[in-house]
Amino acid sequence: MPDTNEANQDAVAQHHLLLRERLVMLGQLTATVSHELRNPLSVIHNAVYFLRRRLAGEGGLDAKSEEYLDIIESELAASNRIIDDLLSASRVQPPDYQRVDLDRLLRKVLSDIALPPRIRWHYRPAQTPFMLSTDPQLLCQVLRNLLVNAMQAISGEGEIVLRARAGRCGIDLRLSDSGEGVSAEHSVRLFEPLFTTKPKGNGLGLWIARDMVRRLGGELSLVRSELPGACFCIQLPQDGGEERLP
Amino acid sequence: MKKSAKRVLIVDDETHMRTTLSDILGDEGFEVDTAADGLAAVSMCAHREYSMVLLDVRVPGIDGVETFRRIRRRHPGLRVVMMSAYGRDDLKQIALEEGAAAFLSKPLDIESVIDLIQDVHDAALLVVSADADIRHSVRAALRPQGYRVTASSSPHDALELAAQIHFDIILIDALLPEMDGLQLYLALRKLAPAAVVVMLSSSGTESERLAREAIHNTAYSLLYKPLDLAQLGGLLSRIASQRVSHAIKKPALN
Repeated sequence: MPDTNEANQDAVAQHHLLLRERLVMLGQLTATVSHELRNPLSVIHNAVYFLRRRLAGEGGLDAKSEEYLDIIESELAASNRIIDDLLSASRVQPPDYQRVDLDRLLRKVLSDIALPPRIRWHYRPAQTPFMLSTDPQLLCQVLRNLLVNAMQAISGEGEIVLRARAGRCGIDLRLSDSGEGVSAEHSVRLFEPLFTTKPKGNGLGLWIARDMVRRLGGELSLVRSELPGACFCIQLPQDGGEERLP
Repeated sequence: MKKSAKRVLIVDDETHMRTTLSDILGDEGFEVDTAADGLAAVSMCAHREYSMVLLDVRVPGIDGVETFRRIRRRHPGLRVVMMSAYGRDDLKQIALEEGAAAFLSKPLDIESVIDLIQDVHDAALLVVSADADIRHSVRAALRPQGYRVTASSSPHDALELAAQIHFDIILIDALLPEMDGLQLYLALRKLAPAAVVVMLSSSGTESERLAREAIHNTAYSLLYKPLDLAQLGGLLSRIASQRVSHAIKKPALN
């Protein structure tokens, strides 16, 4: 019956429209809440700075108090990272393309993330220095998300390998870990929003990471690994935003 | 003991932001006043002399950028540092282009704020020129402002230096012995990809063509010889405010 079919299609279209509207609203809400959280977090950051300076001036801090100030600061940094992720996911502005020295950027990401001693990591840079036109902030966030995932996938001791290689029209970055790996059943849904296998995961990390890589003109995929665990490959064009450079 | 009698005005609508910042800067030896909105800030600037204004972009009443404009209109020399909880604020480029001393993201890096108040340029600069007058005048003009200036008369020495020392800013005279300015620029770019490079050349010469070629690449800008030190100073403050704000953007060339 053609009429019912048409009605069905209408209903589906209506449903999609509603879903889209809700997603846009959700994006705006996320952006607003994230920004609203930045201010109180900045105040806490200031307060810790003040206390550290004051107490250090008054005969020094005892080890325990120092440790607690460190804890507050590292949790603040973690909160700010979550906000960065949420803002990137809800952002509609185009990427901010700059000329980036890839090796430098990768080394910085690795040094910033502070991997625990139980995890050995190896970085294999590209054979020749590599400049690419990309948004360094977005790319760092993608790498941070992937590194945190890799870290969480490894229980006990293990290793992470980050390899950069010139690809056909840009760069291939491969991040492999010796963790549990991804089952065939899960690998299909891995990049879906809200899909997670972690008890405390929010299912946004990989979805956001892929979205960011795509906005940079590249692709993020799960590939066969050289280690027992998972391996993610980021392919990026060398001149992602060349036409937008000043 | 007071390091400095510099007076700073903090403008933010968040009470606790005003309290914490003013306590921190007070401990650093600065005199601090605070305002909760743009109009109050404008009126305080009219009544008192400040070394710097630290201004949140989103304050109630007239917004931060309008506040900044009104303050600058009456006090053109006053340094205004904008701050924002929005990492990639659309207003960043506008404020920097209109002469804000910096545009910082919250949470603030307090050390940078202190450097900005002291007007200390924590930057390493390399000048490469065969012309001794240029080397000496750059050194004499910039050292007192806190720049760590290294000068070199030969491109080969410059490359050796850049392989060992991190430079934030590099001035290259396009007319050089042994290799030309463009070749040196390309070689330096490999060693110091993040450095901001300013080319120097005489107008209407082959070396100007090379300098423009470098700028067509990723060099930042071009200054003509004879070198106008005031112009160099202007360009460097522009670079300084963009660097601290993580927003390097080349000026348009004629």
